Amino acid sequence: MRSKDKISYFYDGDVGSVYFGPNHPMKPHRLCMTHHLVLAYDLHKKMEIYRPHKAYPVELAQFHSADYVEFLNRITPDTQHLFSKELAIYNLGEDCPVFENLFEFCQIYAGGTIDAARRLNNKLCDIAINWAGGLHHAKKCEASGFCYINDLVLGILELLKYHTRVLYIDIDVHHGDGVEEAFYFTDRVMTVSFHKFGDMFFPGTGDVKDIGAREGKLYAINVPLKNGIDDTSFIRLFKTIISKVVEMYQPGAIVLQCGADSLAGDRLGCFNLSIDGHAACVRIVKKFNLPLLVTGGGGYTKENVARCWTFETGVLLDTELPNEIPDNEYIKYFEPECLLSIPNGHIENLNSRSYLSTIKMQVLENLRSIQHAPGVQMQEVPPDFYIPDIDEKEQNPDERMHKHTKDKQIQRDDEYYDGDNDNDS
Amino acid sequence: MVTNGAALDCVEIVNKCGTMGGHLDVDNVGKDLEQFGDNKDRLRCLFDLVLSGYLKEVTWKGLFRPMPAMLGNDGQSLDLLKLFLVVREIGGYELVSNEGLWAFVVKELGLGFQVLASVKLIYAKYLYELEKWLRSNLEDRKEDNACGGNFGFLTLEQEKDFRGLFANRIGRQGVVNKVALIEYRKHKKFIGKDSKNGVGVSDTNSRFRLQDRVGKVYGDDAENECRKEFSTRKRKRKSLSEMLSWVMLVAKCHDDPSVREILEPSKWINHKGDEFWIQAIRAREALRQKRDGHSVIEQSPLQKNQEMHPSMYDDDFLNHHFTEKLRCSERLSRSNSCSCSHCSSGSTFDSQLMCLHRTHSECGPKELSSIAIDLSSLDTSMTVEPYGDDIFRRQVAVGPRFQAEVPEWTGPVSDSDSKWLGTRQWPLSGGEYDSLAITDPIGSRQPNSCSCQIPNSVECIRFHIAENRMKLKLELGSLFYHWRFDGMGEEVSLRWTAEEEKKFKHMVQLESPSLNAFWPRASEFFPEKTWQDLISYYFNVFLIRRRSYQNRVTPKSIDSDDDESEFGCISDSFGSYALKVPGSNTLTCSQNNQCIDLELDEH
Repeated sequence: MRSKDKISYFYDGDVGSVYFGPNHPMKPHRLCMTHHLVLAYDLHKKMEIYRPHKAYPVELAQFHSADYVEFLNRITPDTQHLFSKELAIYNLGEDCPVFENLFEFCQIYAGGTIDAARRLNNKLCDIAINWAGGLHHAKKCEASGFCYINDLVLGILELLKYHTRVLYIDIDVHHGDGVEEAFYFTDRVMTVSFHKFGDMFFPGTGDVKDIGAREGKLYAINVPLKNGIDDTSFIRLFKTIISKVVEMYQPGAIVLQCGADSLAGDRLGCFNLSIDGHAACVRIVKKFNLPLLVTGGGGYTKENVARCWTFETGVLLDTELPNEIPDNEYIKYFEPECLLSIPNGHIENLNSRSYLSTIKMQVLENLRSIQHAPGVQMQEVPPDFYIPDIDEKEQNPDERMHKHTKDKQIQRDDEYYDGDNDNDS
Repeated sequence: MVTNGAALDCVEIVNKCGTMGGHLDVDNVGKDLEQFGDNKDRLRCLFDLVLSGYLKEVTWKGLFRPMPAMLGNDGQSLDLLKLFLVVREIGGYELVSNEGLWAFVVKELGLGFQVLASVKLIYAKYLYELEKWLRSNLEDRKEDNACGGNFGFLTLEQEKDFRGLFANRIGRQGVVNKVALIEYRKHKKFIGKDSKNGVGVSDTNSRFRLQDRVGKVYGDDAENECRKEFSTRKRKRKSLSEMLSWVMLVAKCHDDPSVREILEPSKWINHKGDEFWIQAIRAREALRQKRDGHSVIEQSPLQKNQEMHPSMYDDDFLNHHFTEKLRCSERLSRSNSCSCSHCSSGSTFDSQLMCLHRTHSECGPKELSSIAIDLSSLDTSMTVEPYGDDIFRRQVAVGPRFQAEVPEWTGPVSDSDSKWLGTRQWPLSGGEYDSLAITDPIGSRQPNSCSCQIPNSVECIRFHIAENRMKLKLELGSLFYHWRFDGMGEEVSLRWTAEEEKKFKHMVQLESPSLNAFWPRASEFFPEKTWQDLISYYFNVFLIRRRSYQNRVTPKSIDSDDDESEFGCISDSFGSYALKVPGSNTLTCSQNNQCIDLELDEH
């Protein structure tokens, strides 16, 4: 099956040389390796590659407080000792060190996600990929968990200019707290995060009980998981919940954060997902045929990150990749097997059937309440008659989800659901 | 995404704050925590499920029950589970109503008496039915119509689970302070009269003094049990919890003998002892310092760490909270006996202690009542989720410094932002696009399809890497440099002299790259190289070579992301020698040289 989707992929050669400092698990060099592997697999021939613009401070201040952006712009490793108080206020230091070219790095990855959203808005592509983005922990006024600027929030704000409702999905092993927090009060963004929860795992938020507040109540979904979840249960849970969410919420666009630290063998993660399992989520989301923005995120075992995101680029391009990694400069990182697949994880799966079923029930219950809640802007579906200015040939993605496909999804979901119930009881 | 240290820190602070004000009885919290653990979460989960299911049924019948349940007009939400458990433990709705114990219930919930009526109303409307249903099930399990009534929506398993959890919970010592309850029953009438002035002061005091005595006399079993549990924990935790219970005790009973031991503030710093009061003061100091580092003008430090519950965010509530605090510090500044500089900037906890300190020295009857109010306000603000696991749970921070501004949907905004859509780099535009690349795509690169003498040998692989690199370069043209492919892979080493490479290796042996001093040191070693050059060399040459060594020597335990691992074993075989394989002495980098030549030609 050949893809008719038009894909825009964002990359800037300068991110590869960014260095967070000795011993810091976040290594932007992984982006360089990913891009290299994407090209080694010839995937560039099937898509358009863009260099993002460097987001201006004023663009970053669309979400972040101006003082914080200003400070990020000003601070350098050489001057940081003069600003110890501000560093503490903005939570810079240990986890989020100040390094050379910090602000430029932020501008590039945020610019990539913003550009990606704008291309989607203008219907210049169906899927936009920015592996450098996805820094979901950054808060409005402070850095957090290796994240400085929250490109996802900026991208979603951009998408909200053209879409009534945007769905955010997060499969990083950590909770997508920055995005959830940013949109905690609004029903125009639904955030769904699958993450490890408990045992004081960072960032500590993301309980199933956190569901949003005010107008945003029920529009934040958290799927807290325990150590060692495997492909089968993860995909089942993901598919059930996401299908239901899309059915109920009818988003105009989807943002998918593909943090690769949920893979088995990650340095900071604790799940047992294989690359196939991780990519299955991407496949599921792609099937909705909605404008899709895909970003990276966490991922602290470099070669697995490169494998995973290359594979997922392939998935988005409907291209099957051979398991043997082609010879390339970084082949030694993939030795000795030189395979795209990764060894299975051996962490004990602490997610019992009944635990997963309780979580699922709770989430689905909350989802059902949305239907009954009055005042949801469901009537304001993005106008189908909206004609893009730039490319009239492009099919309106909102229309692409025909009734037929929708029916099929519902049916599938029901089938699955029955089966699941049987097993659980 | 964070090293555990910071997360732990945070949780610890949250935990501290939660424990300090979160519950009247510290030991109980600890106990809840240890005993219920997972059950706690399940209980709340199930309770929410049952409640929402029930309310839905009720709504269906035409009755309206909004969630969350709000108290009066302040928009304060009520923790229904806690209310339910408290009432249940006392003996149910009817008993509480008949004996007039609602004031006690309200107090147990850490609320003011002004909401007494609302609490009772909410219980009657939201929970009474549930109570009746649960009781009928627990008492009479034989009956098959257990699933009837409003709760038919529960699956059998859920119901069993739910009942089990409740039976479990109720079987043990629960949320209610039993001794206080007995005392309360004795003094009930007195409180009833006094309730207009907030908390009846004299009553509170006598009550807690009594409670203390009762505890001592009876050698309360529950308490002993708790002590045992705590002793298995870390020492630090134990003293902290004891210190906290002391603070609670003193807060409740200002003329406790131990309060008299407190020294003047001027002597605090040099005090060597380890009494509870000095521990409390040190803890306060530590909290204050922690907060000063983080404080943002609009927030009080405790709130920040606490990450207040959304429903607490209502302006009314905050104002209330702040005025109380202000009043407290105001009083302090008026009385000069307290010359401590922290007072004015004090958190609630701060002012609390200061108040205490002051009251013990020159307390007048009037001030006492405001202390009681302060206490109650502290309790409410801290009672976010007062039990077990929830203390560890971080809440989502809300407020203008946290949420994004999302405009109302008014239709697509077509502003002029289309100018920033990124710059297309691929496919190449115009003449730069090399026709050769189209006719001769990179194609299959499987190593087994090559015609090398020894397939999969080091030479073979190196040849193919170089081959692919050249093809890619032809194909990409100038993009090759834009994407920094010229700085990828071991080719980077060709810009380094053998001498320099040796020096780098030597430096790594002297000083591990995991140390902060490594890179500054490296810059000193190689003044002619930029830090980008050094890092590029580290990732593209050094790590790859180390990896290549690991691949052969320790293929089972490879971690190329580990800066810390020892490099010693690599010793002499490291560097360009590492690429040699036995029997291939003549290996030269001919392919690489070609590559470099090509690059030079094109530039």
